[in-house]
Amino acid sequence: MAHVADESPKLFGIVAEFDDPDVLIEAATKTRVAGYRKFDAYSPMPVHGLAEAMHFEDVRIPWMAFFGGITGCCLGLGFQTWIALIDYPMNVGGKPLFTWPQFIPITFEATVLVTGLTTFVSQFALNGLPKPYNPMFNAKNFDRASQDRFFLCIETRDPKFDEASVTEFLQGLGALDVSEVPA
Amino acid sequence: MAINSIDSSKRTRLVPQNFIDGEHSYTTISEILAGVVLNPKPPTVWFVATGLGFCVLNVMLLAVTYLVLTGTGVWGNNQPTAWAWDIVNFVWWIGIGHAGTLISAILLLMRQSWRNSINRFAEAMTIFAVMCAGLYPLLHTGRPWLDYWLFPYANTLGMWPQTRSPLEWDVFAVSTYFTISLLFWFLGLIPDIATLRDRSQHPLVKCIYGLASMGWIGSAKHWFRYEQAYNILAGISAPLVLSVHTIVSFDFAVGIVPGWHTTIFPPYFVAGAVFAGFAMVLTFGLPLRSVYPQIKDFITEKHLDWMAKILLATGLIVFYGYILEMFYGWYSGNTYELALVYNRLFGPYKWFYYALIFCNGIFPQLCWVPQLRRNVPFLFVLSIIVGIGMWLERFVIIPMSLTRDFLTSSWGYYAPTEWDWALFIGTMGFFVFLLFMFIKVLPIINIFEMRDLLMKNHHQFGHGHDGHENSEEAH
Amino acid sequence: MSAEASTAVSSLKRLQAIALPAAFVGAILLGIGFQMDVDPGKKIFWSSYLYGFMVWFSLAIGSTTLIFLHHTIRAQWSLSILRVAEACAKTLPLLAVFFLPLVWAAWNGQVYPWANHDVYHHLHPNKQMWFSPTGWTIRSAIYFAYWIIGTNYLTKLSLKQDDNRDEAFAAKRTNFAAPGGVLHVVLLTFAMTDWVMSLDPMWLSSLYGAWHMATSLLFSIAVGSFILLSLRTKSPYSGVIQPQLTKDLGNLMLGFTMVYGYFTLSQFLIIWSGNLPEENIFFVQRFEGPMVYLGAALVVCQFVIPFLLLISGKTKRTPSILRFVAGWIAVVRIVDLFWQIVPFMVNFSGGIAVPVILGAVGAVLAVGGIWVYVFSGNARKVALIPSYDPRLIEAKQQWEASSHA
Repeated sequence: MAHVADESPKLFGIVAEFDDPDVLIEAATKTRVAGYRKFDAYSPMPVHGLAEAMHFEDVRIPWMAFFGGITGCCLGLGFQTWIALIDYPMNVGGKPLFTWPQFIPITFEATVLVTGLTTFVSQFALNGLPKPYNPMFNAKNFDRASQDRFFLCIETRDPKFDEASVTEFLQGLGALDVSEVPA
Repeated sequence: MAINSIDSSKRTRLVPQNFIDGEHSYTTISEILAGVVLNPKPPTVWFVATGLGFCVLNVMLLAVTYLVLTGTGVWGNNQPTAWAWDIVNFVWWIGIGHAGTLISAILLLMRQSWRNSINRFAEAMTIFAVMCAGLYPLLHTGRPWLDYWLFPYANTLGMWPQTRSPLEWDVFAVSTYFTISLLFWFLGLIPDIATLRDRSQHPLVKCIYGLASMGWIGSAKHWFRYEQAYNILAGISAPLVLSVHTIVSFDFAVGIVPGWHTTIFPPYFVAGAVFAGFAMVLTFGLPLRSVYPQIKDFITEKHLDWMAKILLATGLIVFYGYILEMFYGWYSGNTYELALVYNRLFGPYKWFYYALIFCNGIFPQLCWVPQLRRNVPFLFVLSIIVGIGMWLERFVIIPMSLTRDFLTSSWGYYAPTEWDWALFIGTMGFFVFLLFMFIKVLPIINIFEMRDLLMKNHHQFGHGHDGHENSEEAH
Repeated sequence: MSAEASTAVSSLKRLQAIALPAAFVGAILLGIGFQMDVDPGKKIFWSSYLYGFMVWFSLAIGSTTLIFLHHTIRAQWSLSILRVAEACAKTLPLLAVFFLPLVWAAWNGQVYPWANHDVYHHLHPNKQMWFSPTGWTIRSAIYFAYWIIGTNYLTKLSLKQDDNRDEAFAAKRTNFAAPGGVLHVVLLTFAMTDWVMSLDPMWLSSLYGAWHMATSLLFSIAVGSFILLSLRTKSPYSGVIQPQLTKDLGNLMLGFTMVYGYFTLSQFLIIWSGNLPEENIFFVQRFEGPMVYLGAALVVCQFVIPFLLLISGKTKRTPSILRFVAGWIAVVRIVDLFWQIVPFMVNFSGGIAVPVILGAVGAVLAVGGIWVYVFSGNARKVALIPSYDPRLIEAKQQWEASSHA
């Protein structure tokens, strides 16, 4: 965001804890409807419908994978063609120099390899991982976010953020517990 | 007949099965599965198996050392059998690996929820099996310290690897397969490593898992991209696994040696790989179920039933391949093809061929019996027999064709040496050792996918189900 | 219930009405092709006829495979097109009638080279044993009998279950379809060897039966999806259409498109690399004259284009686009069979002759017109969605509930 508060806030956000994924989806929907924008939900497994509830959408990974695939394909085919026709022409089995059927397997493997590497790297890059320190680790009970509990955190960055009203709002969502997350 | 009563009581067979037995919550799943890893005292069997694996692993090291110091002449390979156990074992191991990718990628794309509890373990098998497999061609080059020549890099000789050769295709296929399998495996592990990080008590252990978890926090936005990436990797792994064994089959099929040159080879090799791989999943999965009885709720009899069905289906494809090989050999009327048919049925290695037909063709037909598909001792025996059968298949293809060349003057007989045996048995030790080490440090069952499955079960069967409920409107 | 006009039945009736005139036009074209064919063995006519037969047979046998597969694994994927496949498979007796001229040809030294005495005596004894007209006819009769009886049995049990809802029928179907499907695959392999591969008695490819099985299955899925998506606003399809269903159909087509590419490439690469004369003749015939361009275009149209379209999620979510892709695949399948079959008998080094085109189009229309007439008659008599299996309707209800939430 363009304007950041001059002094770094001591608070990262307010977090609510749930024990049911369906309640979390409902809470995320209500949070969005209430006008909050800088919030995130945390769960120990992918919860389908949660991203939709948060109106979160990102199509960059499939596109990156697609272009990675095209790059790999061109590299694989181009490289073999260049070797066979230009750099080191060699007659093998009386076949023409441009033996395209025999180039298909390596072209395919190159396509898959580059697609896979692109996908893997872009997943981490876009998620901002690896990130050994995260303020969310300070949240109460957060070690259960990777086990059996579901969390929803409204961050102080949110333009509508106000400690008292956010706490009250989250308490109204059926949370087990609402607590502060120190930055 | 009372139609209405049938209506509700019998319809259950059509609704998705519940693949988690017993009463479980997100808490118990995390506890049980992470507990297998974090338990400070592994069962005694674990020590025995790991120790045994370690001892046999040393046989492999010995065999490799002796081979590197002496040369590939220590093996039984000699003209006309330039390819022998090294390639047999290479194909056998890499085939075993394929079940892991099939389970993790193809069954994921087909939304088969039963895969969730066996994929992690099978993926680990893939990686270890590919490591065992890769060893053979690398050693077979004769000068393994120059193996980097296999990769295209700008060198002072101004030469490139011959990319028209199926052996070079293998280099690309196997290295791509290993890389992608490793990435896919690691990506799948991250959320579970985060669970281990959050559950472990010892600061050093926490620190190691913390680093390996890449700071995973389970954010919904992260999950969204994570699933996109996971599905794309699954999507490319599915054709990749097919391509790998297809290319392995091309090693043979693009040549014109009778018994090698046949167009059914690609799908028949792929099916054979999956067949052997599922057998290996059972060979290790069944003992694991008894060593760690707490995972029986997650690897249920329904899973065993499914695996037996897949074994039956892939076994039938392989058997179809055997029948077609013989039929078209006979049908072709080609002298050399006919000689091959004769050689398989009546030649010096005929017992290998008959044993192959029994192990892969006849014996697995017992899986048609539903009771046997859930019978643990039977499945264990079956898995061993299939493993042997698939090894025999490669033996039948390779030395049997090579010892009967087009010219009778180049006929021969092949027998392995003790170093062939040592390396083969040694790689088994390597595999066992790695597998048990893996069980100790990482969860054998994908924890987050089991939670996901539990959530789906809640939607499907309702909370507090007894496992046999109807799907009628439970949300 | 909606009015008659909005049901699929009325559309099928309209389809049935245009089928017979199309058959008539096709017969005339085929007749002209026959007259223009100067070859004493009438090779152009016979290759066209075999091609016309194989197009519709491929659709019916692909549906047979789909039925066996569906009842074996009880997949939800194939449930929505099951009834169309059943109606397709019900045309097998009609196709057996269309097969009779080929039987006549086999007994009179036409079409199949091995049926000719001069060629026969030069064949290897094993092939002489395999290719006697008697043996060939008996085998063909067995193939047809098994397929007709097998699909009839499964279809009957499936329709019956709509009435009495007895789940025991589903178990019966599975118990038959699993081993029955194994036999079906074996018979199909031999049928393709007998009917198509033997057009060149020296040529063989052990993948050929599996290739036909996979491509005919793709053909059947594409046609089923095309019909379902064309009639998506009409009952009963309107009651089940939702994004997950179209996604499944799209993925099914994507999967088999990839299998087509995989099998085609494998067969080509192995034969091309081995370069043995008795094998590579298959591709030599198909790379002559304009056929090489047709072959290249087929790879692009049958693999590259559908593959790129089907990997996109948008295609699978949008029924109109998916319908286009399904229709596209079906049309390209028809053209591909031309490339597969006709060059066995006709030499294309001098270009594609007019009688070949007339004959091929005529045969597809002539056999197809009658076939479509019978097919649509079969299809409109049955409930197009099996009501015994509520999964599709439940999925639709769930989707509606979640999208209105």
